[in-house]
Amino acid sequence: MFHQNHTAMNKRPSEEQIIDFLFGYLTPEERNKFEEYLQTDAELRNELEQLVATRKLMAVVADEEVIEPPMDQIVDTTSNRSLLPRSVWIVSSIAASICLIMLMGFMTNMNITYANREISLSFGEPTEARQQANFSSLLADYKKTSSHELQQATSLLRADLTNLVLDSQERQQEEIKKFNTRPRLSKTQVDTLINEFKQANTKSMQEFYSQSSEQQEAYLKSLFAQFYEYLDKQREQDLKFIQANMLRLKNDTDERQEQTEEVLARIITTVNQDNSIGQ
Amino acid sequence: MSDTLLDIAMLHADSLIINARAGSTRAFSKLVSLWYKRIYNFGFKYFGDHDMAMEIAQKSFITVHQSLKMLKDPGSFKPWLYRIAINHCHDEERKSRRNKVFSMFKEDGRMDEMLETQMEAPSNAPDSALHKNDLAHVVINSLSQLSEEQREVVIMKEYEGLKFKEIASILTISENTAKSRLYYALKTMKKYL
Repeated sequence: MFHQNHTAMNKRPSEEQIIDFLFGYLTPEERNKFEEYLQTDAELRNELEQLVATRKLMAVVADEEVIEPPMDQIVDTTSNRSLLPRSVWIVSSIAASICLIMLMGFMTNMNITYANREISLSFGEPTEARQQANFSSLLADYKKTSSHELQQATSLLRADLTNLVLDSQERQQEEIKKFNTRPRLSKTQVDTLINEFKQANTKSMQEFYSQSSEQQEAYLKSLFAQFYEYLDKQREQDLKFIQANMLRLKNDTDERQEQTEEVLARIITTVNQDNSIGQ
Repeated sequence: MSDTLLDIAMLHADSLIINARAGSTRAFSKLVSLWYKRIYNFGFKYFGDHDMAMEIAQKSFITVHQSLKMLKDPGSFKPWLYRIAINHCHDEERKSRRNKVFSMFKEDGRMDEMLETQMEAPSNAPDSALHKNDLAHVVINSLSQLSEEQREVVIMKEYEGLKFKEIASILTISENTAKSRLYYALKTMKKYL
């Protein structure tokens, strides 16, 4: 490691040697030489002290405790990740956009013209003068037909409205006549009617209660049946869950035992190797 | 450093790796349980931020799940996993640097001033007056002052307990380069502590 193995050091050790000394990687002989040299170099002694102090301070930083995220998060992220590189996606999307624009242009009969240092986009027939003439004639036609149609619609609406008012007046008069000619009931007849109504009402209420109690009974029976069924299913599921857990526990135990045996075997091998080297 | 049972289990998880590679979700889940805390803490020390650390850990294990079939030797799982985590750290660092460039136009640099004040505070205050948590915060902040190259070596050596040989293999550098980076990293950190 050192430049002069058989004599004491007479020049400042390199940075690598200083680090080896700091971390205890020097052989006893190299260490002695280093320490001998240190007696003669106060500057290096000071530097080493500072390096040791720095390392001590660094040891203040302990490991942070952290909980690893659920496995699914890592596996899902991996499986959802696209196999194509991002650049391919970008190029493909630009190409698709151009194709779409071209297709739309074709379908809408799009024209791109360049004249007088201007680029113009147009759809359909490009002749401007014809478009202007067509537009004027269309406007005139529209005005003519719209005023005629408006007059017709107004007269029809007026006739409808008049008919409606007359009809409603006739119906109102008929209703008044019917009301005036209706036979009047005596007090006893009214009482009889009320009694009949009460009896009918009581009867229907009794029927309703008897029917509803039967329905409730049937509903409760079916509810209990469903609940028993649910309990049975739940118990079955619980049993399956317990069995699966037991199996997993057994697998875990087997695997741990396998790992422990592997570790122990390696330790034993390492110790045996160390012993054989020592002998 | 004495190994705990968890450390031993982490070192000898070959059968788990083989099963996870064959598609066993349970084996993969156990692998995640074994290593999640380590990768989270690596990310936490790298960025000094819980959310970023969670992001790094999650992305790392997603990558592990996607690429585990490509890992030929289960024995090299540990360096392979740290390499994945470091690559994600570099990606996130680049992203946050890009965001910082954009935010420079919006902010007036008050955050930087605040960080500087925080960093200078310990040198003025006596050590005994600092609470342990505050001290840990200062250490984490001083880690963030290191370059990417120095920071990752310091974390892997001082906090993850990796050997220089392993660090060299993960970062594809020589052992001496790793040692040199650690030396200069410690010297830089001394200025802030």
